[in-house]
Amino acid sequence: MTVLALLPARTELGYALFTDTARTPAWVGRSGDYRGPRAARSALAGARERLPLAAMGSVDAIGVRLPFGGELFRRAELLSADTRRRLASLAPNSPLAVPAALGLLDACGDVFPGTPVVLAFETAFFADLPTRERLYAVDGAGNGTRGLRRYGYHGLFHQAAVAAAARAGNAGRVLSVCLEPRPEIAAVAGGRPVMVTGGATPLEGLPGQTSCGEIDPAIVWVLARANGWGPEQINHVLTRDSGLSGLAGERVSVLDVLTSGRPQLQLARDVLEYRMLLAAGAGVAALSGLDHIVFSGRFARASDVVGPWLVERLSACRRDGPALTWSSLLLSLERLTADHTVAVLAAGLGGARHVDRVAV
Amino acid sequence: MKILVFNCGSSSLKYRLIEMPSERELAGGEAQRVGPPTAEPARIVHRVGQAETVHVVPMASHAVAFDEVMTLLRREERLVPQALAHRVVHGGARFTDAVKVDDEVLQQLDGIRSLAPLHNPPATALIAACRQRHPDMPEVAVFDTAYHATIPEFAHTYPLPRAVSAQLGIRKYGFHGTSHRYVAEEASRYLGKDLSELSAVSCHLGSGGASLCAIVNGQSVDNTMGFSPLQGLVMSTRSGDVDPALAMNLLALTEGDLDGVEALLNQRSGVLGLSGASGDIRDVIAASGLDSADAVRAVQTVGVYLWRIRKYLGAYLAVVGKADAVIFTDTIGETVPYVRWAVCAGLAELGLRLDAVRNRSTAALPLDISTADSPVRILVIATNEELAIARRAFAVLTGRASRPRATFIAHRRRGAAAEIHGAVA
Repeated sequence: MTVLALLPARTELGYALFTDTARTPAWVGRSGDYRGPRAARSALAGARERLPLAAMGSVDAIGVRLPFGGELFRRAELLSADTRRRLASLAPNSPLAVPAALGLLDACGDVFPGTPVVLAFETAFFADLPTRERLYAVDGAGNGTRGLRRYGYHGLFHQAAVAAAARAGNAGRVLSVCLEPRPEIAAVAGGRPVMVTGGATPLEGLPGQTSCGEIDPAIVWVLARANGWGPEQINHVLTRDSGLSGLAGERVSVLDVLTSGRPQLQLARDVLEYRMLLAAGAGVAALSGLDHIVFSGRFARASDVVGPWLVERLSACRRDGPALTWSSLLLSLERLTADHTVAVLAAGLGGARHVDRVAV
Repeated sequence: MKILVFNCGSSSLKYRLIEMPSERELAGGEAQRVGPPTAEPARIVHRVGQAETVHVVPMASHAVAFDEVMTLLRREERLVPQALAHRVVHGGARFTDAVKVDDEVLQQLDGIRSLAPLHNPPATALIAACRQRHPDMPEVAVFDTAYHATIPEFAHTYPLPRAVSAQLGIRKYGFHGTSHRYVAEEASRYLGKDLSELSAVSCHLGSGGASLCAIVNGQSVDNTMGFSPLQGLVMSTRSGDVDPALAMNLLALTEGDLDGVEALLNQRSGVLGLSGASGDIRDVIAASGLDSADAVRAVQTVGVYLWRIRKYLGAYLAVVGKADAVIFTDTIGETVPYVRWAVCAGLAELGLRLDAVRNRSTAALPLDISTADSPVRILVIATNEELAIARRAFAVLTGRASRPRATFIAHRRRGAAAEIHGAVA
């Protein structure tokens, strides 16, 4: 099955073509100028032109990775009129991402008519987070706080990493560390998450490459009062100028910070590691212990450094329980999206078709 | 030395006269309805030993209240103070310890008024008034934040642009420092260890504010409150941690109503916001046991409240490494066994083994509520804000650490001190 994985971002559309279960795609690309509904169609049409479809035949299925599915989407789903309607109903919660997603899905119908489309949501894995974890201590009926709840934003990585660990014999209580530009840690028991550092938005939690992560909320009005900034300006500073880059004084990636050893990045590294340690300790309490740590994300290979360090730090406070082990899932988000696409279609066909996962 | 400890509320003045180093309380009380006249007259509730008297007297300002308190105390020679100690909530980055007040200190205190706009100004004004009336009486300022001056840079730095943080003094300050330090001292004595060798997680759970403190070698290395007392745990009316995007969304929704958003998250959230009924977790715990429609919301509220404490406990145990003790203190920490049990349940892998029977004991504090084989002791220790302040002041004035008595005083639930914590932080 030839699967085209689409990863829409704010201003560009990433795509990858998989012709089988191979870890690496046969073709990858990025279309810029992705903003706006008509831009989606032209970006997708442009992508189609660049794909070596003459050699590979047609695209059998499309998988779209979407950041937000709210409480309506608990797993990957085949696009249908009903799916589209339910996705559209999430627009108030996600006023930028949802209309953009709808535009892209409509473009799929234009550029790849008749090709089934599967939607894979980052939040789906966290849709059923326990109440005590997902609620904030605010009036749940207030203006601006109605229905407010925590989601995680790297559900695809977390779910795949935990499943891979389970297949390798590490089921049970797992700390899932997703090393992406906005890193995220989740505590998972028996395949179900009980804690995650991401929040109502991806801004909360660990510091990102340019995002502040968890801060004292009072800082928001301190910034407003002192500098006369409005919400847009504050949002820009907190999401684009802060985080590890804000601390380092230069644009850095999570990988740089964790592995480069450059003195300029020392504070950023110490801050990130400290916040990760706090989240890991919280996860151990959430799980009443810990069996295994699994890493994922585009920077998963930093686990060579972070894995042993985290195991060592957690050993001091763990007075009981089995020796901690760790592993890494090195699959890409494109591959995971394609996996969900294949799985949903296989289930739809009703066949006992196995999806052979590449060994982790 | 007789030290008169003052704790300024916005319209009250609590005081206690403590003899040091014996730590005997000689007198105490509270001036109420200080400031502009209200429906009821201003008065001082005054205690000497077991005897309590009420004195109705107009007090238009904290300075006048101070005068009246001194008049009451001067009725007996033995109750005349020799030094004054003031609780100041926010010491900023400048004051990393308690400090004897002189002109320069007073000027610096003036400079940091805005760090805690409700609490620092009255305390600073009172210090200035005391100085003016009794220029020869030594005065010490003791800060809620000072104990946390040892929080390392990577823990007190927020991931913001450095220039922005520097410009506005944005960093984690932490609060309840006097209390956390005090119970750490008491815990180290209880365990027969030197304070400099104590590692612990201190849980100051008040009926108003609450915070956890990670302690290594007797020093604070983190606190769940941050730049302001809003951050961290679920509190009576404070939200504690929320997604920063929420604060920004609320600002946008209210078209920039900064005061309104601040008030919402500080005064109408927390246990009150979640339960929709009460800001007192004890009320909500009781309601959660009832068979009613409201019980669902109460159960949810209690769940969120306990879970946040539990996660931070795990986080700080990871930071501390090999903890000697977990300490529970202040109103909820000292008097609600259910909270202690729920927070510690299932944490045997982290070395916590709570003894359910001991946990329910009504014996005098301090108590060890862990099992004999628990690697981490779980202690319940009564905090004593005024005594803690007196200790710091004594240390500053005599240049030596005070040597508290070898025998423990049975500190029962402290009504007045509990209100101090609830009202201020």
